[in-house]
Amino acid sequence: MIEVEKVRYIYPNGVEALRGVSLDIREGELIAIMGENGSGKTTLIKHLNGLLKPVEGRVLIDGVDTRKSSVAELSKKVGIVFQSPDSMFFSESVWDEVYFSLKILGYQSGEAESKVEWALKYMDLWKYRDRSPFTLSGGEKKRLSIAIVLAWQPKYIVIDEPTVGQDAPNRKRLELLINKLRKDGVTVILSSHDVEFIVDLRPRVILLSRGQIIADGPAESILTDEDKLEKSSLLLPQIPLLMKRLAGIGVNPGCLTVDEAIREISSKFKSQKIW
Amino acid sequence: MSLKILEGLRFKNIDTPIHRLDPRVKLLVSLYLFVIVIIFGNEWGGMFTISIIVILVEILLLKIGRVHKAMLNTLRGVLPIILFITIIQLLQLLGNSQPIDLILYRAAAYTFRFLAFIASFSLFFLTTTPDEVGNVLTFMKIPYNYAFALVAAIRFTPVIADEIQQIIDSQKSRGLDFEKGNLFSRLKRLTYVFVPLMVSIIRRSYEMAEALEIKCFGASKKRTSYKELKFSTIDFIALILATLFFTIAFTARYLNLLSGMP
Amino acid sequence: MSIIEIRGLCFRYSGSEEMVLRNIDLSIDEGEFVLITGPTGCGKSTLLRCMNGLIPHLYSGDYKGSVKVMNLNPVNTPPYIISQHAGMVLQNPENQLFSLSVEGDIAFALENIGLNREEMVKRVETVLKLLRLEEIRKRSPYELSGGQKQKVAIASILALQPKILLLDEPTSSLDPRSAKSIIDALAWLCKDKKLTVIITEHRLDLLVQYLSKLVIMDSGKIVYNDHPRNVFEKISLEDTIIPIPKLIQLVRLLKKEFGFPQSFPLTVEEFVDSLIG
Repeated sequence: MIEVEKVRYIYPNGVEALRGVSLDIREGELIAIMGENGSGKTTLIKHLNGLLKPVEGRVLIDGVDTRKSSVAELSKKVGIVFQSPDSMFFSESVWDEVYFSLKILGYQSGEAESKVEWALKYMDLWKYRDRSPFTLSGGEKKRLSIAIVLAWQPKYIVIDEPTVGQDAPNRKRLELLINKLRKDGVTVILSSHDVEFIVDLRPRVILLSRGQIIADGPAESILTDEDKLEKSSLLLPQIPLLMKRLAGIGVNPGCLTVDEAIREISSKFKSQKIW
Repeated sequence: MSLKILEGLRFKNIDTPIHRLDPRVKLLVSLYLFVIVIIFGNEWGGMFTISIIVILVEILLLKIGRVHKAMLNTLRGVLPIILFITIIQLLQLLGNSQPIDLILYRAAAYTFRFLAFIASFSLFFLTTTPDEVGNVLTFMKIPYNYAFALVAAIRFTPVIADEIQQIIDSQKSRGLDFEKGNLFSRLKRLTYVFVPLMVSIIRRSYEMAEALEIKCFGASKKRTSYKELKFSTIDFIALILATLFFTIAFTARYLNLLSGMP
Repeated sequence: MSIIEIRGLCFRYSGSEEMVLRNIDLSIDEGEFVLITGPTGCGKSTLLRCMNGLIPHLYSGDYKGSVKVMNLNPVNTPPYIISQHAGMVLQNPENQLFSLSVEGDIAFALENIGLNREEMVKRVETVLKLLRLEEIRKRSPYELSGGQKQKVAIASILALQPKILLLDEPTSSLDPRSAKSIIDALAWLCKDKKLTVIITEHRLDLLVQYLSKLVIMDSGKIVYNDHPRNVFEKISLEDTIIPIPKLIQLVRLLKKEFGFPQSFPLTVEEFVDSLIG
């Protein structure tokens, strides 16, 4: 379990990025930390592997205070994948890139190699193992950055803005991947402002605004709440927006996906023979 | 790894009497202060007194310009250098086996001198926008391409600093420990920052080349300027006061008015 | 009268094997709002760069076919001339701001073309007002949000008074609210100021309602080029080359499975009106 307790964080330039954030993350959960740019999402996730240490309050990873451990040690449990894959790569091949991290984290030769193979196959990159990371497409780079962290099988995996700069086919792949990780029992924490992407995953949603959590609950209740989303400068996703506008004629306003909305609308209108 | 020293370059446009001064006047004031500290170089009794006076003047100006906090940040960045100077002085003098109060006094003189010196530069750069620096350079008949290169360097340094921080965070998150190990292994680890940084800088420079092309950079031989350097009454008064201060200090130096321990 | 006319355009970057554009034909009329979209690498950014002369002036390669932008040929017109007819805004706002103040940035291109100071001040004021940037005119880039930066980048191009505005994924790094405010501003400029807007983007849900044309590209070819309503009528839902807005997916399925009779609504409001009038 990850326990974030009343964390306050102030950057050296005086900006107070987190103002008393408390949060428990249980094993096996899928969590989306949402909010506009500058709401404190990235600052919060940097606390999860000790890159930043709280000015006040504390963060416990399975009971270990992040102030009493190193980033390298904490990263074994909490793997963070940052937004820009390019800020990681320096190796000559995709295979080397994944292998490098395993070596510095102290895995022995035989074990490290089998983990590289597993991670690259999981991310569908095995066929590119001899390619240079710099020649991959945007979507492949993103997958490689996830593979690097996934390789040592951290219990918690954090993905920062997974969809920024990703096109439709890659978004679809990422959606499938996140669902697969979840099925495999990995605790996945996403930071994102992409409501349309997040809504289909149905995670527990944590809304941040100006360094404070303003809502924490299931997608059904948070991603349908226009006022709360508004406070975080987010927009209501299209389906919840539609259901809200149709609420006057008695459809269930809690639908999140296209399939649910179709069932609601067709049953309502078919029975009334409107068309 | 601390990038705090670059914080001073993250310019904010604040409006204070100091910021409003003509940048040419500000440059001259900074130069005056700098030269004053320099000419008291060989006699440390005077060096001690003049450095304190100059520091007081600088504190006053930094305060009026509301950049004293930024100055403190910069000082924190150069703290190791200050300590180094102090310690070197102390060691040198201890070796000469002189009285302890003299040793402390002399070490303090050198430290204050360095502080006065740093602050004279900072005063100019913390209260003058890089755009204005560019204007001053153009005024000094330096070709625009050079002026632009300097302004762009200042403009993008904080952006690159953010980028470096991001790369360090990414690499730490995959297990790299930048603080552990001896100097050699630390240097080796820097290549893991250097490669991604180069890739990103090359990409950024392509995008900047596109943006410059789109914004008609170099289109006209007679480039015009939106901002005009204007010399107002206040600038005139500031110039007179600064020159007066400089002349007094200069006279004091060559009549040896400040020499000896106070 | 078309303002942009492209015929049989093919392009391959030098040093690369692959053709990025394969036989592109496209005409765009004055006052249109056109979205060019498709998966990464489909050629949309390259196509924009052919329209404002970055290709072949900054990037060379094999170039076949013809491009006409307001009767100018970008191949033999210097980019700074084209920029005053077809201005371009790039993806990352950070790399487009060279000055340390908003007004300085808006003036930057005007200084470069050597515009006299009187006219320059007038244009800067007009653009500041147009995009409501007056209050932040003195701010430095470090004090602006991503959305504000991108607005300043747009303003600095509009100061050149182009008839056509090209934008290459201008909102890709912005949060939804900032993206919406940029897109709404563009729609207004198109409608009220008769600016022709050509944009590449992934955010179809925010854009489709304003479009006169939706152009979809894949592997260097144009695969759809029509009014969005007509494109959505034809495109397969299994086709993942573009992110089909959820509303469109919903209506498609309602039509297919339940015989929903109306044509494609482009906004939720339009759909709700058609249902409950």
